[in-house]
Amino acid sequence: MSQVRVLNPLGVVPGAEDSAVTAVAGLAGKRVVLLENGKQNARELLTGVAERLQQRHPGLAFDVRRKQSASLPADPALLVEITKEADVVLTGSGD
Amino acid sequence: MTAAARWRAEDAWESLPHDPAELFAAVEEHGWGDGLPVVPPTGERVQACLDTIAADPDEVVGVMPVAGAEVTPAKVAANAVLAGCPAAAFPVVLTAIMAMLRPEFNLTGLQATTHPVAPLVVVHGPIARELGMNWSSGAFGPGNVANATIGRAVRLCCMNLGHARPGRGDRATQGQPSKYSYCVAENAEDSPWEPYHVTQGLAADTSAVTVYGAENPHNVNDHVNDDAKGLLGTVALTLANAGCNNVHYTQGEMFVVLGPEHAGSVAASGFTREDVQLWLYDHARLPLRDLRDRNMWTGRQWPAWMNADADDEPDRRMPVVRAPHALRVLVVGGPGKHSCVIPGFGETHSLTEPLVARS
Repeated sequence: MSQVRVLNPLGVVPGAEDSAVTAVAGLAGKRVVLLENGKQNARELLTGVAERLQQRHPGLAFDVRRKQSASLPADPALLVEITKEADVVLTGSGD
Repeated sequence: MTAAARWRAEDAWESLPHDPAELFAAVEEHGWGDGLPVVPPTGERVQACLDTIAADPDEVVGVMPVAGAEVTPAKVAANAVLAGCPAAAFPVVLTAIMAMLRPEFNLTGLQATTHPVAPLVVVHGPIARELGMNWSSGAFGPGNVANATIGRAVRLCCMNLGHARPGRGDRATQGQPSKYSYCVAENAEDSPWEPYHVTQGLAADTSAVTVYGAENPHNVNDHVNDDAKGLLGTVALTLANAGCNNVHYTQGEMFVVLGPEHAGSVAASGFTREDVQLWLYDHARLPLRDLRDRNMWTGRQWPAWMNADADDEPDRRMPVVRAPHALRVLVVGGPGKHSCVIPGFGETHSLTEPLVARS
């Protein structure tokens, strides 16, 4: 079968091979930030998940933060703040 | 290896079947396509695109969300060829992509949202004529090679460089047909006002590209009115749309794309472009009672004065944008009594950029 050489059109993501996140070793005493995006039901969804986690892991501490807009990336300063404070971040929307 | 040769490196290339039908199937299998047949991005074709610009083919001009992949002229050229884009149109594609990477365009939001938004590319100035673009009858499509393939190239870049594919990265609930291709040229020769890019600070004889995060065009049919207030009244009613993002993200823009006959009638009433913007700002409004508890009400991004009135004035008529200049007016199309309005994503700002330097 005759072949043609073509330039791969996919973008290359720098560091994609080593970007896996290390899993948290146990949840005992961990601090969890709920990052709400401002959409309808986002807070309800996240607090519902938090309540269930709290039942399973009573030692967890929770804090809620909110993005300025559902349609924009989170403010980098907010992400730095959360990185300092949280062991685990939960985010999602309840569309 | 020199930096200029990076795109020629062996691991950047693949072998695909030469037969058109088998090639099409292989491209889809690789996850490079948009569901339509493609042109293979051979070295000769990619080089022809790169020969039209002055930039280094391997220069990283930005990273594209959602994946964060590096964007280089060579990778954009591969997608332009895939789309069937003539080499001469490549500077338009590259200009559009570079504008879309600017933070104020919020490409992250556009790529990932459940909203159907697509980047609309509007081409201005001499390059539109050079490329034989359509700014007259049926300009939004179909049938013109440059219009169709420039828009398709931009979409393929979003999918292949940004890795935003339906259901994976691109979370659009329904999408929209303009996510295949969305490019048009401005009809400056039949416009009663100065070319749009002049309003954005560029010279009339400069070739330029506007990018705008947009919904599909919403038609404005008016065969009855032949004066500014009558015609713009119909436009205002089409702009005042409780289901579009703009009504709660009023920091964005809405485009008012007048057909030349409508534009001529409006101008014959003595209206300048600024008059059109002011009149529509005053009249394209919705009562608060129609905005409350709909759409993105709980996440609305309104200025303080709008929120203050929201407490106790259900009859207060709210604007769809924060200021008249956010209603962007230009002329596209041929004979007939149709215009359109194009709502936006809301959390995005259109950009008009001069064409990248050509070789």
